[in-house]
Amino acid sequence: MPLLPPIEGMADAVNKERVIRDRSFLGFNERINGIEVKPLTSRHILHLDEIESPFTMGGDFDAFDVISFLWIVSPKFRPLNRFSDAWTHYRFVRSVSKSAFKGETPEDALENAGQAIRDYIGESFTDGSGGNGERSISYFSWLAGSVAIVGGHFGWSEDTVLDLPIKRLLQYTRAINIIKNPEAKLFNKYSDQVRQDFINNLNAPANERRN
Amino acid sequence: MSTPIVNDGTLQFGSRVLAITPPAGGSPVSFIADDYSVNSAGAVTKAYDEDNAPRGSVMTREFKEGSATLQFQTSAASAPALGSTFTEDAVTYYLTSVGDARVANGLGKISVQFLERIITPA
Repeated sequence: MPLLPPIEGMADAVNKERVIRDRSFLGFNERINGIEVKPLTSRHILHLDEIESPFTMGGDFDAFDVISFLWIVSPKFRPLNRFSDAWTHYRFVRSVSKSAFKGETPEDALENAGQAIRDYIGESFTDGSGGNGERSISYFSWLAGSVAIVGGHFGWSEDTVLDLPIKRLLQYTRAINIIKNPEAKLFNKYSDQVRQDFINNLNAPANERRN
Repeated sequence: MSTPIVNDGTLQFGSRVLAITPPAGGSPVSFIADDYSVNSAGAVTKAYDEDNAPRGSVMTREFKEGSATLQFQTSAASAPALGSTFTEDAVTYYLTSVGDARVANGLGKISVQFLERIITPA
């Protein structure tokens, strides 16, 4: 086989995947526009779906949606059951209402905040299945599947699985899939695309001749 | 598969690029092939005497055959067809099996099996 030239961006992409995967096991908090947040978990997604957050349900978002998202993934988050919880929430909103929005215009600031949240979610789902654009018929919550697969495999409780960072949950799911089916095909979100861009460039002359 | 000590920014260990030509001919299309493996086995014929004791054997080489997982961009290319050919390490192979594609984020991955082609197409 002829030696292949280095693929531009390949080492960076592989390293990015490695860092995202490995770091998730250290349990560090993350940051969205400088604001400290916990790693995204299934329980966060449940809360976000409950308030119909456009960041998980789709649709346009406004500043209220950004603040709500940041509150739910904040280490300070708690359900608003008592007056002291409401006070904590009020102080949180006051503290992040300016720092969450960075941009030359209010529109830029809102878009930047939304993009930072989308990046945070996107990175959390680095090892997600990606989907093929087709919805399959659902007979139970995806969370039931996660608990059954990961919790069942390791003997972990439902709460443990719900509070597991998505980055770790998806890696465990992949590992279990490979144990059960060594032929399973997996995708690497960043390095597969870099490889594909490389191949597309190789194929470009032939494609042009065909067209 | 062994883990490489150094990843120098090219394809990971065990992966390679295959230029696959459709059965009807034409320009080859390049695919990244993961988990590429080729098996070179021997075919042994054994001979026994009238008491069923070993008398001799002769071995010829078997066809080389192998398997790989091909990656392709669903919008730019389709999975290769059965009978498509490629040449690797001075041996030409043709695809004898093409599995169902698994698709995610616009990329597809598909399992293929291939067999050595003795008469290389012109």
